[in-house]
Amino acid sequence: MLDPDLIAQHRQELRRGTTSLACLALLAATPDYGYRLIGRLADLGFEVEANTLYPLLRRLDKQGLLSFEWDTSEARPRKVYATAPAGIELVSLLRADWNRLTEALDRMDRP
Amino acid sequence: MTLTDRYVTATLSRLAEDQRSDVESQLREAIGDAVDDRIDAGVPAGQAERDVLNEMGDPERLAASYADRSLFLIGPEYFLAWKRLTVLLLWIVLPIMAVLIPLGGWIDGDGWATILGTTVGGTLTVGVHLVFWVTLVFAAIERGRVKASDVTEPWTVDRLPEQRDATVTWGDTAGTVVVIALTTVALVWQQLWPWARTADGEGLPLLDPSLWTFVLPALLVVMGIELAAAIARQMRGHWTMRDWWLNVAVNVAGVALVAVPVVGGEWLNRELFAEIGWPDAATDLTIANLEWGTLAIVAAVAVWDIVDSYRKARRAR
Repeated sequence: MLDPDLIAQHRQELRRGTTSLACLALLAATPDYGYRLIGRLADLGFEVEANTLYPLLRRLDKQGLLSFEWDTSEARPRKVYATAPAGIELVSLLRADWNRLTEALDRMDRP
Repeated sequence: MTLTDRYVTATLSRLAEDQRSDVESQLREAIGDAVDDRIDAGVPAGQAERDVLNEMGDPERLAASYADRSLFLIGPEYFLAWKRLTVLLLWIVLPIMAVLIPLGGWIDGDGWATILGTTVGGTLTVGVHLVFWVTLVFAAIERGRVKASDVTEPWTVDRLPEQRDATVTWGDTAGTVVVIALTTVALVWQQLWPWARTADGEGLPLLDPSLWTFVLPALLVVMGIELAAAIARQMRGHWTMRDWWLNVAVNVAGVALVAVPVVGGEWLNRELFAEIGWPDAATDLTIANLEWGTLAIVAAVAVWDIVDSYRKARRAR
């Protein structure tokens, strides 16, 4: 029986870095604001806390991978993020890497 | 002021001026959306706000995340360089302080309790300062976004420590033999061929002649044991922990044999000093100062020898 803490630790290591990729990929498909993006990520099995996601969005924006527009149609103004061309390019690069890893894992003999 | 206002203020106060309005709008959006969602799900407004802010966590942590600030003093890139430098400096500086401070106290003519106190306190203070300032510099480098490769050399195999030989070296043994021989000769010499005489031609040795009833012969025996042990070790070729224990016993015995007459004020020959008229009015030094100084040197050598032989014995295991 595996120790749950051990599983959690290895899972965390495996998932580290996938959040940015998931955000960029989702926002390339449909632009969205932070809170709804958390919901979309959760639906896909990416559990991301608000205190991680919002600083991440801002960082990706500063890196030129995301762009945003203010949505002022409701009482509370919201930043609606969309993946910038540079972000789309990065997604395709990272996705190719990810696929290579998946293929490599599939090629390995299963225990 | 609502809880949210206080939370936003607490977060923004940790951020640079030019980031604040940007982060504030995003933060209010994030909190507002999450609170609304909970209220729609039937949570009372006040409770919803509390829950959301609790989940957002420590504002200082959130601000650090926004500003890309590290939440550690010295990170893994610099930790080893920091540790090596700190340990190296402590090894160099503290022994020097531990010698200089008592020397200064002794020159000032302080009592042994005062000297002990200032030595322990002063060495400790210097150590604390040293660790503090080295840490401060490294913490500044860590935050200065300097690349570790600019400050530290990359590790290569050339930095592997030498595999030190566990065997007994001829140099060590020769050193021990020479020191013991010189000390023995000096002890006998000062008694048989004293460099000062009284007016009627009686010799005045440097050490109190009454010590020959027990202390000096005992010292010669202790040195004889040390000599035999050193030669036996050389023939055996390697150190053992038993060598170390014997070394501790010999050193403790040697220090004790010097300490007893020093405490009793009968290590140096008072008659000799009376004859040569020193110490005179021109100096603050007393004969007792000289005796305690001798004891301090003997004790320091003994401590060094115990530490050194422990390392050698441990290496051989």
